[in-house]
Amino acid sequence: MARPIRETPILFGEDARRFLEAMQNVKPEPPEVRARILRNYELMKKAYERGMADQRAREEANGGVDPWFKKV
Amino acid sequence: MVQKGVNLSKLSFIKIRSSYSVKDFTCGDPDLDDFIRNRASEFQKHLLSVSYACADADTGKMLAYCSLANDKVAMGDFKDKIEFNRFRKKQGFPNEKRLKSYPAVKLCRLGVDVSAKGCQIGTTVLDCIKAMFFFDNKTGCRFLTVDAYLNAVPFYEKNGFRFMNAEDDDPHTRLMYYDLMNLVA
Repeated sequence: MARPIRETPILFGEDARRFLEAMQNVKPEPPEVRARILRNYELMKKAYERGMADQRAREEANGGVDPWFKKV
Repeated sequence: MVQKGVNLSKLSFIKIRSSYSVKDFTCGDPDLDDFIRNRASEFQKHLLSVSYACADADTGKMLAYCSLANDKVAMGDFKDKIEFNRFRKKQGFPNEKRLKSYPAVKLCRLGVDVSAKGCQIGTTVLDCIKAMFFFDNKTGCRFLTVDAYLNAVPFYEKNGFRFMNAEDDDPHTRLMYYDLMNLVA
């Protein structure tokens, strides 16, 4: 049985103070990291369009079931 | 773009419907593998999370998996949890003691198949999630949150995540967050 994911806690005291301070002092990503994130986003958007279109085609060819996945 | 056997330009990224579950996927952590292969669809069925799979577009081999859910980061005007719990027992929350909260998205699970480890696919998926909620945000979301397995903590730190609590003694995971304002140019 998979371990449950811990819920995000309500922050109090020192944790809350540190969190608010970090929010007010944002650390902008360096330009090369921001550019990489944008590049990967564009790559994954294309992968998503391709992935969903290909899945529809596989389902049409296999009686509504995508053989890449297990039907539950 | 070819890196260590995985062609990142030949990926399929698929939103998994609740009637499907991932097969032939091993990230090396039995707990996470069990969730991904056997339990993720239940969460999806009850609208508690949405799962995505990243596969090789040619072979269908599953390379990465992630699931997301809405979350929030809340702060209380209390010294600690004991004071908060004492207060909760009273009826009603007066304005001066209300909680402050900020919208977030929880990265419930993120796993990379052992065959694709070291190929930057985890970072690619994480970058995509960050960008989805920053450049293409539909509802308002300030933070990504994650309950990171201890062995994954260096990965999240490298990707700009910070610890939620100064003291966290959970034996398995650490609560971490990423501020999407870091992406403002």
